[in-house]
Amino acid sequence: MDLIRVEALSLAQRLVSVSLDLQPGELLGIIGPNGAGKSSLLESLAGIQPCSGLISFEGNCLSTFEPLERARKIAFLPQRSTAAWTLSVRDVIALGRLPWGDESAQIIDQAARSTGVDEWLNVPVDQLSGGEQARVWLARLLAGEPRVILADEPLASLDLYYQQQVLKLLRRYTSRERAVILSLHDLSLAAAWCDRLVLMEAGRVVAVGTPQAVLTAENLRQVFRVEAEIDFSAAVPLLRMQGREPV
Amino acid sequence: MNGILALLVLLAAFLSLATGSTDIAPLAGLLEWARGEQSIDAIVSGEIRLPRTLLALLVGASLGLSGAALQGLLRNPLADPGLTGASQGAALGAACVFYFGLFPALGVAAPALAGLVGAGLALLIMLLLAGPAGQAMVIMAGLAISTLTGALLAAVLNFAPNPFAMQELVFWLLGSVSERGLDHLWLLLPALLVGGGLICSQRRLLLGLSLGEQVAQSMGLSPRRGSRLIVLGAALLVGTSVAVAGAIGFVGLIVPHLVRPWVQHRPDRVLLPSALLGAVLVCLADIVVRLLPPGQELKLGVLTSLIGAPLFIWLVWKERRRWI
Repeated sequence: MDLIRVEALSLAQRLVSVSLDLQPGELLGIIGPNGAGKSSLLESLAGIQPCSGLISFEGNCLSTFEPLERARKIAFLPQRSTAAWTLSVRDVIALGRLPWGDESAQIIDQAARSTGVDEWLNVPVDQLSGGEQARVWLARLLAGEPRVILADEPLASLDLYYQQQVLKLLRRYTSRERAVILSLHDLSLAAAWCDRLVLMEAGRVVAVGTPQAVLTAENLRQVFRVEAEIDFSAAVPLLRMQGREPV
Repeated sequence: MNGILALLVLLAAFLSLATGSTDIAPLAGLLEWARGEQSIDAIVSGEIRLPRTLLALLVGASLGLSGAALQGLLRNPLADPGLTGASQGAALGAACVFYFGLFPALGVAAPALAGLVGAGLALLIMLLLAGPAGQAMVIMAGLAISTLTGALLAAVLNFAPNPFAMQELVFWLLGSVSERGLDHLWLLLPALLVGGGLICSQRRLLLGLSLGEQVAQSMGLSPRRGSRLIVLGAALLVGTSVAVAGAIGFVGLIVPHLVRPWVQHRPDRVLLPSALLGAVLVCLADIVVRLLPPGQELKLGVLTSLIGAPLFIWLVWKERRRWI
C-alpha cells in the first residue's frame, strides 16, 4: 500500500494539481529550480500550509487525523532551523517527543547515537558548527519515530562530508517500512541516493520516476534552462554541463 | 529548584510580616488576628502587614510568570509586560476608570477589569502590528503601542479634574502595595490562578515554539490558538496586577533571566520558578521600601525600576554580544 498518496494538491498559486505517491522504504527526492514549489509541497504534507486536494496516509485521508496523531506519523525538518534559546542538544532532541507527550530518555539516547551527536548531549546546540547542528536537528526528527520524514533542503550549506553523513542517515532511516522525502539542489547526489525523483517547475510536477527516467537532457533543458546531462555510466552519477569538465 | 524557591517565598513572607515601623511579634499577632482578638499585634500583622505581604507576593508572581510566558511566546528574551505595551495598556484602562468613573457597579473590581481590558487590547494590537514576522518586530510594535498608550495616559493626566486627583493617579502609577486591603487580594488571586492556568496549559507550545512556529505546527501543536490563550493569560496577570498595584517595572523582564540557567533555558520549565522568584523579589523590594528612613516614601515601582533598568542594560549588552 502507498505510504503517502497525494492527488490534485493545490496551494494558492504555488502548487498546481500535484499528484505523487510515496512507497515504504523509499527515499524520494524533490528537485526543481528555485520557486518550483518544493518547500510548499513539503509544508503542505507536513500540515503547515492549508491546501486543497487529497493527501492520504496508508489509505486514510490525512485531514481526518488529529494534529498530534499526524505529527507522530510525519515529521518535518524546515529549511533553516535555529533554537530561540540556548537549549542543550538533549532538550532539542527531546522536542521530537512532543507529539508523544513524553521525554523517553532511552529513545532520545538512541536518536543521539544514531546521528552521532551523543557526546554533545549536554552541550548548548548553538555552540556546535553548522554541520554538527544539522545532525542534531535530524536527531530531533528521529526521536519522534515518524513513519515519514519530510526534509526541506537538509543538505544546504553543508560541506561534502556532512552531506554524505546526512544522506546516509536518511537512507538508513528508510528501512523498516519508513520513508523519507527530501528536497535538494544537487542533481548528482539526487541521482546517486534517491530511489525516485519528482521534478517540479512552477508549482507543477514535470516528471516522476527513477533518476534515469527523470534526469534526461531534455528535462534538464526544459526545467533548469541549461544544457547538461547526467552520466549514469560513471561509478557515481555525474552531472556534465555541456562544453565543460564534469562539475 | 522549586522547593528552594518556595522556601524563599516563605522566608520573604515572614520577613515582610516582621518588618515595619512598629515592633510586633508577627506570628503570635497573626494567630491572635485569626482568633479575632483586637490586640495591637493582631491588627498590625493581620490587617496591615498580611494583605501587604500577600499582595506583594501575588503581584510579583503575576509579573514573573507573565514575563516568562511572553518571552517564551515571542521567543525574545527582551520581551516584558512593560516593553510589549501590556503594562501601559493596563495603566491606561485603570486610569480611565478613576477619571471617568467607568463600571461603577463593579466597585473595587472596576480598575482591575479595565486594566485587564487595557492590557489585552494593547497586547492584541501589538501582535497585529508585529504581524507574522513575530520576534524581531514585537519589540518595535511594543514600543509603538507603549508610546501610544503613554500619550493617551498623558492626555488623561492633562485633563485631570483637579491637582489632587492628578497627584493620586501619579502616585498610583509609580507602583506600590501599601494601603491596600484584602479585597484587592480577591481580585488578584483568581486572576493569578486563571491566567497562570491558561499559560501553564500551553507549556508544550512554549517548548515547541523554541524551534519556530512552523516546527511547532508540524509537531501537532496549534500556535495560533495557543498564543491567543497565552496572551489572554498574560493580559489577565498584568492587567490585574497593574490595576491593583500600579506599574512595577522590570520584574517580568529580569526574573526569567535569573531563572533560565537553572532550568537549562527551557521555556516550559521557566514558568513556575519565575512566578516564585518574582514573588520573592517584589516582597523583598517592598521590605526595602519599608526599611528606608521615614519621610518621603520611595514607591515600590520606582525601586524596582531603579534596580531593574541597569540589569536591563546589562541584558542588552549580553544579547548584543550574541549577535556580533
